[in-house]
Amino acid sequence: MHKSECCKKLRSAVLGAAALCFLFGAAVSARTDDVKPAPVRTGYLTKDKAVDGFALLPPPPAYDSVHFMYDKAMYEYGLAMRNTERGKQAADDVDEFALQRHFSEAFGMDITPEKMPELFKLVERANEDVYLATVSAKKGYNRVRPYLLYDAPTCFRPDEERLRYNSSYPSGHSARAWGVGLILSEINPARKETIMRRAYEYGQSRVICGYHWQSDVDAGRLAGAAGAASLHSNHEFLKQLQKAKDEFNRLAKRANKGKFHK
Amino acid sequence: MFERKRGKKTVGLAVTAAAMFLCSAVFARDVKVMPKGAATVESKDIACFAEPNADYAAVLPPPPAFDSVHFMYDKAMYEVGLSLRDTVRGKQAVLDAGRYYKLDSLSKVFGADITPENTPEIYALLHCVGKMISDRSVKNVYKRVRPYVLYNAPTCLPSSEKKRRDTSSYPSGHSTRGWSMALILSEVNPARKEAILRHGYEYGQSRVICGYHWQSDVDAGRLMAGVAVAAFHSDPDFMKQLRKAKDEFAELVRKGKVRP
Repeated sequence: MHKSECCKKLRSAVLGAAALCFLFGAAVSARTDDVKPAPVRTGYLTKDKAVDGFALLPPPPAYDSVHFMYDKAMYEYGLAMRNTERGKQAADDVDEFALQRHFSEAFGMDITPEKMPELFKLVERANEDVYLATVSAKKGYNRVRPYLLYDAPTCFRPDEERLRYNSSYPSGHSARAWGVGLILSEINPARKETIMRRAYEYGQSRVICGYHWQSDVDAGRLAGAAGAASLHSNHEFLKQLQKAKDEFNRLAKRANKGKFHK
Repeated sequence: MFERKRGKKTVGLAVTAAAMFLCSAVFARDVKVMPKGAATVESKDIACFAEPNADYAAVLPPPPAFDSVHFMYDKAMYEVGLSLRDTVRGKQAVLDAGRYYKLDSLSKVFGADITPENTPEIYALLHCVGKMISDRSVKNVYKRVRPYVLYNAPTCLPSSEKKRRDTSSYPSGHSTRGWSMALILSEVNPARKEAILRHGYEYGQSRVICGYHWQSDVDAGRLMAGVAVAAFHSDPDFMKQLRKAKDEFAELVRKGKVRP
């Protein structure tokens, strides 16, 4: 073979490899980057203090298991619910950063920055911490979501792109709602059943929407409880929790006073 | 009749003697079953915080219907459990089947020996959590049949079969207590929370392996535990005991008595 020809071939091979590398790298970074421009929110816990969900949770059901058959049956149940009132609720539940709004009715008070600034702040930050309990498990198990496996529409199509490369197991929404629900129950124990029922249904909304398998949601609730427990050994969280409790008690007292005078 | 001829006094004496014999037999058996030095969460002298006033049935979904895929999953897990009975995991399930949480295995994952002498406050905390969570109200709502009763098959611990025969399977009380204690204990020693929580999780799975519970009973028990733990946290008496337990743990750490 002629020397210059050899060099030419080598050069084109190197160039090709570099181009491939570039394309592959771009694809990988597109996969790992969260598509959503995530708002800057930080929880109370540093990553090393958060629950390692991968060490805690069992693996998701195998494709040929009865457990996965149950997941698929629940997917179909969800499909059947889409055009009902419950289905509309599920579509309204998609914003996991608006738990204050989602829980206001069950909690019995409007959790807004104006009316309950301390509680609002507590929920905003704790929401991030309970989610952390799912992160390592999501990475470790990397399960495919129902709408992707079936190539079928969800209840809320705008989220399909941002969640495409986010593992299905465990459900982050379910962990957030269950963990935050537990904290809210602690603040308003008289309504804990209503609050926790709402937290439970918030998880079910993910199945109805086609974003999660039932077993993702079940595991998410375990992670959420673990996440809430992990917050309880953080001093900054406990301080804010006390502020939120005081705020709630003040407002509840005022509301009761009004009732008696009428 | 033979007894009538003997007169009331003799019968009374005989009954007393029989009762004494039975009692001593029961006592002797208990002593034999209990491994030496293995503490369980059981003490009558500890004053506890109150039972949480919670309507768990308002939170939990109903158990799966007999003709559902969910119940098919329950049955598959029963069979997984059967296949594990003669293994090391199955033996652990037998140990877990006693009335109260076994503290020797929990002590291992916790990193320090939990005994009434070594850790009186942590011990009291766990004892009261176990004692003060009652599943009676929710069990009465559903009255589900247990796997070993439905199949008329032996469990991993035949001595408890009779007393549980007529109690509801849903939700699993052991799983509730196991997950609750783990959640609370993970607050006391957060550095080991994954191992502690995993232990609490497996404690529930032991009930499936034993044939005492369906998987969905265990799953519901863990949900109920979350509600109970949140309810405890709004009780000042519980919080006082939790603080004492945390302080006791900090002292153990300071003295270097906690395994890393």
